[in-house]
Amino acid sequence: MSLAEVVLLDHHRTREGQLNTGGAVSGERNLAAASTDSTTRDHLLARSFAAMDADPDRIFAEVFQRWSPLISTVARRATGSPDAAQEITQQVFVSAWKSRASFNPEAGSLPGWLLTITRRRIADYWEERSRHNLLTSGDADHPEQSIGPPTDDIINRVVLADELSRLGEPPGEIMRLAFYADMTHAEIAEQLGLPLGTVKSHIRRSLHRLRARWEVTIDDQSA
Amino acid sequence: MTSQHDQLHCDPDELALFAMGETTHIDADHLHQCGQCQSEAASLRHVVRTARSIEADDHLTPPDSHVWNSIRTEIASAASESPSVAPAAHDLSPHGSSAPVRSNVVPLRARRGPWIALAAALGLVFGGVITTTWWNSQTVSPAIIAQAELTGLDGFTASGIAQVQARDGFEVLEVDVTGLPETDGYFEVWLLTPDVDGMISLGALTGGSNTTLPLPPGVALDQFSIVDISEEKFDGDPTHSAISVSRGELAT
Repeated sequence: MSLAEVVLLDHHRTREGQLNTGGAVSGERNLAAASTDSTTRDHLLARSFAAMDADPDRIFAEVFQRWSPLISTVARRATGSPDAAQEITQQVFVSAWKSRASFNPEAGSLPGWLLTITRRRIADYWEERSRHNLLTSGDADHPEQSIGPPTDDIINRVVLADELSRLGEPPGEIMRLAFYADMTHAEIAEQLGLPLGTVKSHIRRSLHRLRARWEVTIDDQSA
Repeated sequence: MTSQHDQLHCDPDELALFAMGETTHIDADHLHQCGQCQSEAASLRHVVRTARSIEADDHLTPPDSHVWNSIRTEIASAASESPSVAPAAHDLSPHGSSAPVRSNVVPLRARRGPWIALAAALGLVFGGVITTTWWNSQTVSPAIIAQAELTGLDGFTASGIAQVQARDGFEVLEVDVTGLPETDGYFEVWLLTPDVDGMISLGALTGGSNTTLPLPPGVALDQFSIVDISEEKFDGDPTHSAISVSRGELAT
């Protein structure tokens, strides 16, 4: 196959709307590169964590710095207690260190794996609360009072909030206006002085990116 | 390869606006009949609904800095009971003098000092003073010169990472890709120019997920900045098959 044919195929793909760093129109390339950068960094960090063959302390410190806000926020929302959240965050990262050999980056994402541990700790927390309530009240008929809010809903929201904050600008601003100011793409285009088509494709790309990152993060593995 | 049929699907921009709840020029008749477009709309709607349900308290806040200290203390005490899992001590300072060292033998050293150094370094990070510098100064051995995130093309799901790494006096491309389709041929790694007006073959992927290929010395990575993986037949034709399964742009 000749180069010319590959070029044609490449343009064909771009026209079909594939997010394609290879053949991307030059204006889109920077955006794609910017969002790819943080994804790549997360992926590399996960691989380093799994390998742990060089600088394990530093890698673990990086893992903590990158993912502890997510874990701690999920725990705070799920327990309603900042103290319990700190405790759970500590437990999750200690277990992550101890069982790091069982993390397989091919089987799922690092945040997904950490969230699996977090879910268990949150369940333990509520179980403990139930047992405590049962002991103190002696009321076996109302154990559901200590179940807590649905953890998956919380994780969905917190992970998405994190991804929204990582969209960069102007996509982040466009999505905030679209989600929370209930503005149409035409209104956003006018407010930000951007062409209609640009705002439209930003909305499409950001929604796809949010969905993709969200799926990667939440996709847990049975650890 | 994208077929004619796909062009009849709802316009992706309009579908996204539809998911946002806007009145759009979407092809309602098609949407009504097409399961693929319906499920695409439903999945985007789920993202939109969830995003709109985010409350102020859902925004991420880091844990108190004492949490990190407690974790280090707990790990250190576990490690002293079981020396085999003890991690190597490391100077975390951003201007640490030690070059990354690869060693199969983890030296057992006194750990108390380094934990304190780590905690102090992290304290600075949480203070927000040097977050960016600290993060950017991270080096994972071996030295990575550039890297690309590989993503699937045209419905292929093959994805992974390609890294240009410095070895002793030469450079290699390490390709770590998963989700390759089944093939009765093989996969070939290329460097392409962004406009695809030039390409260099680097060699074939091995059967495992991880392949290291030497780079031609002096290759201009700023020109040949796209890593491309193609599916090839054993037909003896040395040119690109035009079936690219995964691709990504190198960034330094």
